[in-house]
Amino acid sequence: MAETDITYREALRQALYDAMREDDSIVVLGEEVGRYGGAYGVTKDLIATFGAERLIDTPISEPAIIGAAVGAAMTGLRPVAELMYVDFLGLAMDQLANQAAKIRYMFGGQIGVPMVLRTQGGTGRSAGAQHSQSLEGWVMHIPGLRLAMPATVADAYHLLRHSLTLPDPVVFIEHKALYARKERTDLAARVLPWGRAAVRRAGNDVSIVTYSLMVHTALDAATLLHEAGIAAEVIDLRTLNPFDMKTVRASVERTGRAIVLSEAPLTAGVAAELAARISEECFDYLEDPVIRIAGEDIPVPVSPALEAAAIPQAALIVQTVRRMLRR
Amino acid sequence: MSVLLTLPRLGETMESGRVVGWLKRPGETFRRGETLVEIESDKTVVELPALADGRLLEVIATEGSEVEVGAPLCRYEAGDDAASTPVIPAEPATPAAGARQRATPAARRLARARGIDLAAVQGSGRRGRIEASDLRMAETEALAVRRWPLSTQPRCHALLLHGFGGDAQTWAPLASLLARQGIAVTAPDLPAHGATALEAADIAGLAAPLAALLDGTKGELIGHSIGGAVAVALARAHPERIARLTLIAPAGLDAAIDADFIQGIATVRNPGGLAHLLRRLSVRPLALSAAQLARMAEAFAAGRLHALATTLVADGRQQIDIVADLAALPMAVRVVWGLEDRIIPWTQVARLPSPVAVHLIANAGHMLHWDAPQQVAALFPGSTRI
Repeated sequence: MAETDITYREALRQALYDAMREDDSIVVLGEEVGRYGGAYGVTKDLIATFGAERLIDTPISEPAIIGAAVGAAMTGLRPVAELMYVDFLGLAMDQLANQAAKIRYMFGGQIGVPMVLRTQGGTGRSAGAQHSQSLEGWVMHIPGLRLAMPATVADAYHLLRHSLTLPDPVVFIEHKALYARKERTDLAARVLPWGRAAVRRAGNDVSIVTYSLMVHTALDAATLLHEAGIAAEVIDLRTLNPFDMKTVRASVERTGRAIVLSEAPLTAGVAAELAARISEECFDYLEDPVIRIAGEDIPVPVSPALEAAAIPQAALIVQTVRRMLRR
Repeated sequence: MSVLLTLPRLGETMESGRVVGWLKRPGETFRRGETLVEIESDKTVVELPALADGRLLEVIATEGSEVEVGAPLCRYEAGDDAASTPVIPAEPATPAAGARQRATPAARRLARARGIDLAAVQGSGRRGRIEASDLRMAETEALAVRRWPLSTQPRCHALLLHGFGGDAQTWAPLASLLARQGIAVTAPDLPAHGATALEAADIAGLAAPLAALLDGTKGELIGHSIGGAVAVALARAHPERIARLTLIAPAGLDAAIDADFIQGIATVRNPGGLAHLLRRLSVRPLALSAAQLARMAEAFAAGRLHALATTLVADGRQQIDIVADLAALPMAVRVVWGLEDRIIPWTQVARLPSPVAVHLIANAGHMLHWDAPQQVAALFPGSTRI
């Protein structure tokens, strides 16, 4: 298949379409996923092909959506539950953390929960403090949940397809600012396997470890740093569970310097976990402390200017790297 | 009461100042208004006066040092008690013995691996922190290097890397011949050997500090035995700086080796045992005085070669393999071997990649640059330029 211009949104839709064609047990359920086509249009028109039996519009009740998906997964279906905003995760946390994540363990491995919880998070659309959070840290903290956070169009397609083959629950967090992102991509081309981080740009001076939207911010920063004669390596983790420490370690051991970049608030987040892992495993190779660059510890503002100021921008990364390297 | 005097901001844009000179010594008393120290900012030199009577206890920022605004200059005793307490001579501001040196983890790892004392290294990083790059400079400085004098302009350069248990001096017969042919010869004592204060446990460790010895112009690289494997590692890392590689009885081609010799050199305790081992090296017996032998035995007994011996030879077999690296080298490579070699058999040339030229020399042992220096030197004829 040839390369075509395709958006992140279209790639996700294509992944659902292809997977549902191949696997009759896949059903999609959530608020407005059927006739309306999803709040961000990812399931648009799928109901025309697969019918209301497999594209199920639910009441506005997150516990019901996730709870029904857990039950369906335990009894033979492979549900894709859509949570309109990751910010609503709190409502579904018992179903997710206490049930989906624990059932294989509680029942001695006799039964699993092969479901995918699709949701989206992050800033970029002035959606306000209750609709712009980055809550991946909540999910990463729970053993038993897989966690994917695609940054590219190809990964949106392939990570979702792979999620729909796994025997355990996957939380799949899309980024609301990436839906319209268009890339020239051949969806049939092979990508890195599930669980492997991608080196999006190679460099020898500093490793920037990140995921989701921040991959693109890091790449912008790397371009600016290149003009200053600094070669930054940008690593896209792609999945946070499993988490590819091997690729990170190889990079940091070579560069001797690591920056961990996350859109989520700085304190006690994914960035803290990554920084700790790097400090522990690469200690003997470090030339500087591992630095976290992350969102401000505040509710995300609505004002576009303030919203942008609340999350890391390329200029901040450039400034931090230059201070680190003193050049 | 002891007080810290810190550097005030002496101008609106001043971020730091340089201590030009102290006008008071530790123990001296001073009156309010007397100048204590002269500070140079980027604009001017300023005399810094005492703001109260007191006595200087300790100079923290020594003359010539650069001090940031707000950083301490000295400690002094202020007020009346300055006059009444006895004078205690203060120590100069050097770090206390055993104080932990500021160094990055990467630098500490390198220092451990190479046996470098961090206290002897000057840090170039933030707040004087030692970084890995500072260690690399220290490594080069810690190498003991011998150079043979030339009477004419050098035709080319040659770097000579000795074998296990050897040192730069073992090259003397060949090096003087090469020098006569207009070749500028440089030979280091490899890490864990001779007068070089660095340690190494593997080929990478042996090769690590050598890059700085490669001359700016492309030259000859010659390695003997283990030094041959080191030369290959160096040539792999810096192919653009080496015109031709010559390996003399190199290690790392095949499994066979006189393992007893390697273990023996690494563990020998007395001159008699050493003399017995050295007889295996060459066809012509070595003329070493009893004093020389005793000195060598004493050096080997220090155990510096233990780790290296274990890496190189285990279960009676060589543990390193240079064949793949050899095949990947872009420059001309040749191998010279003595047909009477008792340490590594010359038949291992069979494993060489086909572009590698082979020269076999009769009546020569493992140290063929002792047994047949003229024949080895003849491989570097003065007439050809490379």
